[in-house]
Amino acid sequence: MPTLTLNLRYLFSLVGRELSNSELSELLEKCKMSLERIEGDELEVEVTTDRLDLLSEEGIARHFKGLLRIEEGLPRYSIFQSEVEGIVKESVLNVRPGFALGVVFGVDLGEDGLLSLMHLQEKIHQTWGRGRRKVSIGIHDFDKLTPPITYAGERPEEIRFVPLGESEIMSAREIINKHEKGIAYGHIIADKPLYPVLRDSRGEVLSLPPIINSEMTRVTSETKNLLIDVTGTSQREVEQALIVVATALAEKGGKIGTVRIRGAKGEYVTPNLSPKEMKLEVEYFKLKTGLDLSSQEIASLLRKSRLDAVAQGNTVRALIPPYRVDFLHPIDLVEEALIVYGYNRLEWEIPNVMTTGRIHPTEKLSRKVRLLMVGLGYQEILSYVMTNEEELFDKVLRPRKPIVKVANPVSAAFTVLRDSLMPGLLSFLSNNVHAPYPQKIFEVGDVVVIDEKEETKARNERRIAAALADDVVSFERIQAHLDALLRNLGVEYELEEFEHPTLISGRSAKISYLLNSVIEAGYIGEVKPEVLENLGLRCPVGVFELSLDPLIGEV
Amino acid sequence: MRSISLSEGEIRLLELLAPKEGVVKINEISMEKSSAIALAHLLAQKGILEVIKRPEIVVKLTERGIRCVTLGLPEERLVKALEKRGGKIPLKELFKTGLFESNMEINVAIGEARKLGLIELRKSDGETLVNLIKPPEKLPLKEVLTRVHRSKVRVDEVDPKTLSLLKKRGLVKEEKHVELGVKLTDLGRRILAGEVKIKREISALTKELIESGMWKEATLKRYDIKAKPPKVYPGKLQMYAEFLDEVREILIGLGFEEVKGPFVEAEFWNFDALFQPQDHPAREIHSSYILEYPKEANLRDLELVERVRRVHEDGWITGSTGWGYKWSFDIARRLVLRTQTTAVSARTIASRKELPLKIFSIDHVFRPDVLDRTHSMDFHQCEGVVMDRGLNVKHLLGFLATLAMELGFKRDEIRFKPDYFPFTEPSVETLVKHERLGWIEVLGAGLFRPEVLAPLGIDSKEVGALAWGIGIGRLAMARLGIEDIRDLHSRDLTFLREFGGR
Repeated sequence: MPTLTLNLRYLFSLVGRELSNSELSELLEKCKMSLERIEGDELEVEVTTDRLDLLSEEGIARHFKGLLRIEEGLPRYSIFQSEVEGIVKESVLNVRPGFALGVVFGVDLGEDGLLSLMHLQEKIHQTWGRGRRKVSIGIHDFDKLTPPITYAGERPEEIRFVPLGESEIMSAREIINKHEKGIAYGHIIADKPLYPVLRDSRGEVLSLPPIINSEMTRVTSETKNLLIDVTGTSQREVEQALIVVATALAEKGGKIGTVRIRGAKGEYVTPNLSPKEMKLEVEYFKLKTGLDLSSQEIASLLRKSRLDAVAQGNTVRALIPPYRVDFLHPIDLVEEALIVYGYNRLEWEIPNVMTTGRIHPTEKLSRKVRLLMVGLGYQEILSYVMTNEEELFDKVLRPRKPIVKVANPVSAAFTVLRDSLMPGLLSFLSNNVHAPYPQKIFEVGDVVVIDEKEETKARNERRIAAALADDVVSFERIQAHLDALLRNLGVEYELEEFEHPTLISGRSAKISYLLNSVIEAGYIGEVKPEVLENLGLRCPVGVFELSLDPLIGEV
Repeated sequence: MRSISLSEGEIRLLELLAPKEGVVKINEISMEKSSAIALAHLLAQKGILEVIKRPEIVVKLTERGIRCVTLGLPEERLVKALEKRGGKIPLKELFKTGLFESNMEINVAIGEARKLGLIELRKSDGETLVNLIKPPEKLPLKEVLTRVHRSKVRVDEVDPKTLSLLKKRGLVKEEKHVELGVKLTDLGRRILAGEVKIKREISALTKELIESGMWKEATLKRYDIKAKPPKVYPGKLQMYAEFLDEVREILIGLGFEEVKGPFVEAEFWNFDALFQPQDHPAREIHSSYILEYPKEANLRDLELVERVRRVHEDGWITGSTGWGYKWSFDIARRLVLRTQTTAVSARTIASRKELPLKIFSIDHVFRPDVLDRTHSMDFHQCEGVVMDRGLNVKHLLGFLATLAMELGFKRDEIRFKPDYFPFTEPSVETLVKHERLGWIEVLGAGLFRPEVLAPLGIDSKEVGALAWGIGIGRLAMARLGIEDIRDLHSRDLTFLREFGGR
């Protein structure tokens, strides 16, 4: 979850009054935020990923004012149709097709406002924007440019301008290779034949999205009139980001101007600030919350969440502010009203659902097996299911074979899922050569085997494996334990001599269960000295491993 | 002539000492070490020998040292990686090899390998390349590490320069040990010379002594009841496994049936069926493990798949707007390691459909995280569903409070706050007061969204499905007093053997 650092003084000035710490944490909780830290003017909070409108002080203050009943219902913004036009060229559609423009005039930014705007932009880039890949935002001083604005794909060598924070003209390639932002975000467009670029009517470059704006349109705390450009991969999210930024600025007295965009994507107008309408039946609210509230009461709760809501008989008709993108279904209105009402005001009711509890048969059998192993003096261990091929195959001399393997490991130690428990036991022993012997360990757990017949091409299999290390370990000694285990489970079995790459030839056997039919179950034997040497073990080791799946329901 | 009572064991020790002169180290006595020590102390009490304690300083591996013995020194790993890649690797790519746990370790590897003249750094085309000059013939540091790993090594047995290098790199530390030795006293010498008569003591009453009646003449040796007994290790359940069993028992007691599902899961079940859009951040490569092998699921219930597609694209019959994007079958059938046991809940609801339903699952889930004190790539989740006609948020809170109390928290130290989970609405987080940690989040929950239930064949207007999950690893750590998440899967036998009750 993203963490936000907020300026408390600025937040209070936007709300219009100071808030005590307890008020603050209660309000934050109603925004699904959790307070991490307060230090002087700095407030650190964690915010959930569904509320992008709360990524700035302006957005949070807007919501707080509703909850505090300072301002209820939809925020009233002044909106006008601007003269500004945007033109989308065919050439950009294969590069970065999402595009929206908006202007905000007469905004009084100040230092705090400027900082908050930059933070908002950065947070949207990180979260929603997926590191600017999906959405990126450019903000410009409108008075330094001449509309209409053209959005096109151009060959990199044609793009030359002074990037933000520089004093020299740089080419697009230079920016990508040398500029700090180019190095960080260049990979998003670097391998494309054409780069996206925004120019004004004079042909001046405004921005090379998603990397950097031009120095020419730099925004300062004095800037009054702003142009916002948003580009990205998905038109829907591009437009939503524009709405969030534009309405945050409108909270500071700015007027939002819409922009008509024409060209290769047809004609459309952004930002679209009309509220979305949704209806909630009182009956449905009651069914989902157990709360008996009237439509008027529910409407009043929703108004405190900055929705326009009116009661119409047994229905609440709600208008949802355009910056709220988290309303898909009336159930979302239910939650919204309930949060304002307060979760902790609800009475608890114990669900009267009569059912029989039952342990999973695999776990039931496993518990039996584990207790028998403990009775035989074995210490249980719990390994990770993830391991690596060196431990699983090479060190124990098993030939590698196809097993479940991840494509994006973060560590060389964890790249595959185990298909056997035994290598994990041997590696455990090799970690403990200084602990007193005899060492008797076992593990009951799942391995994963490839199975083309399964929906997911692989299947979990429950196994038991045990290892015994001591100054002297004979086949007979480990066999005695296997025999004790299976006898006490009431399972008939037979051993048959066979070769296992990890085990000494002539001192290893295949184990089969004699159920209704003969079922191959596992193996037992003494570990080869080569394997012991590979693992730095200085004691002989006896092992067995059994599949428990055939026994489920049988014992 | 004077006589003295001695046990069989004491006599044996004396006999072993007879041919030796001066101080004899305990290790040099051919007898099991702990018995030799115990007997030596008994003989010392009788004034027959003297126990001499000589402190010594030995070299011990640190955790990092142990890592270097198993994986190789960083510079050794670097050289191996270079050899594998034809002698050249761009500096930037070293971390991706997965051989190093941190950038710091890479710096060490490069620094050390350069000092030894094994590699050089060259710039070409704006990137720095690591070039192999020659593989090392031998690494003295590694030799010492291996020696220390294999057997006890005293500080004075190691070349001081090498030792100080190893210490500087944090691979070894010095530890004080006490070496025990014994020396016969005059009395001891006289006993061996036959000048003092030995009266044999019997150390144990035996079947033979009882049956023959000889016990009547025997003197039974007095036991030093204050002496520590030899250590024995019982077979034991692993503490985390035992904790998971307890949680299982609680849930079964509350009427839940345990269910299971596969570790290798289709994105369809792990995400799509739970209404997580296909571009959700949780589905990106840094949030879930995608598979190199096997790659694609054979989704079976294609009608269900079609309903899920509709619900994502336009909400289908649910009254939802859906996510409004073009849903892709190819993404849905991609295989991943499941990131949440909610996948099991979805599978179970789809296959059962009967009401009421109360299920839970405790099992492994996987996320691409680097293993450290607080993160793990392979951890447990405990999750479940209560589903029946007419269940609502009040029931959800009532159930969560009951569960929290069953887990040992007090009624007036439980509260709720709004939260966000992609598949539930309303969503809630349960906070409980922990004496040491303050208010902690233990139970995330909510009502399954209509968009989740409808494709599974459940009408959410009639039926409420309470979905909940316990942060089971964190709870176990709080309960067991464990502070490092890796200890839940400890690879240290002594830690497991000594882990006490709670």
